[in-house]
Amino acid sequence: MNITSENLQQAWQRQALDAPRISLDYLRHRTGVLRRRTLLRNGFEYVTGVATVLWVSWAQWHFIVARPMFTSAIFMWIAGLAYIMWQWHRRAGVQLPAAELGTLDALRFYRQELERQRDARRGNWRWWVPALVPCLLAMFLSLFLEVRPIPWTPIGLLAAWVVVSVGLGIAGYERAARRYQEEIDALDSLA
Amino acid sequence: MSTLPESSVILPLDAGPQIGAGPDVLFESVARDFAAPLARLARAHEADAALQQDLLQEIHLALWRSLPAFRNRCSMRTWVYRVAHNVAATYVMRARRRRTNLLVSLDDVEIADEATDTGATIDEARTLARLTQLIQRLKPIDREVIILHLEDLSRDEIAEITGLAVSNVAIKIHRIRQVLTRSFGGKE
Repeated sequence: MNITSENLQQAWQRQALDAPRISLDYLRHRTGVLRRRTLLRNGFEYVTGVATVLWVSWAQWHFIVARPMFTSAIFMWIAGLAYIMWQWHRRAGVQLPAAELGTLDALRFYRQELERQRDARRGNWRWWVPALVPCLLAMFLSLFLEVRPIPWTPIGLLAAWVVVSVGLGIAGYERAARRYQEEIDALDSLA
Repeated sequence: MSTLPESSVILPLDAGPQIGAGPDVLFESVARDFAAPLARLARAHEADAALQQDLLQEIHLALWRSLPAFRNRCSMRTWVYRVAHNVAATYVMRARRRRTNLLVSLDDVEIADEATDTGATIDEARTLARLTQLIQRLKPIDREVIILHLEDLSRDEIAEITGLAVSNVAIKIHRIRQVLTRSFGGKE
């Protein structure tokens, strides 16, 4: 028996498949779960940021209000965090493609999204570190100028925490950027 | 040759009220009419039965979300395939992370020795299994074209769905026929 292209088409379309019925209720449920998960994740980030600022302000209230430079550092910290969150949302917020894109356009969109995520991480210390520098400077100056005797141990701990956090942050983002680049290279190999 | 209920999937020009009645009504109709082609599409892209179901659900979810944007500028069949193949192509890219096999183009696909086994009886199920395996080895865009060809869509429709030029689709279909002939030992 010779199998022609037409035979194959017919056989393909005759395939006995138990095509499952996917109900609208299920789709609504899936959409709801996705929406809730996104809201929870975003909410967690915002609430954590706000709660940290509030907790520090409340716990150290008397220390902070008695020192104008430290008070200004707290405000700069809030402004810096707000700027970082806005930049992050602008640069790395997930964009969804139009569902009806053609296959080629969908793949192009997928690649662009990978590039966007890579660029949001690669070298991003250039915008998030400067956003925190004024706050950190004000904090250290306040500890040197507004506290007597000079609290060398807290200053040392704070300096170590800043160096380690910034270093880990930069390393983490660069590693994530490299993973996105590997994904892009793999995608290009399929082009 | 097509098993698709064409008349039921190309909406009439006065289909506005149906769309206006809500995407849910439209979705129920589309999900019913395209259940089999979409299941075949999922099977062509994913060998694992459980993951096939996941992919199928992703496709249905994308379709449901897309239907409010449908404006009759193309047939419903083209729209459904475009959305479904868009989801499937992206799925292939993401699934590549957990795959170890290399995807190849139509030009590079190698035919297994058993391809010449065309003598007397080749069981249809076995033929389909081999065909599915062949499809799953292809790069996304070649994969889309061969599936759409097997579903008997025209070159113009395939071009519209994939974003390829019609001439490019024609070349790919010619190559597909050659590959199928070599694989299954039949006539073009």
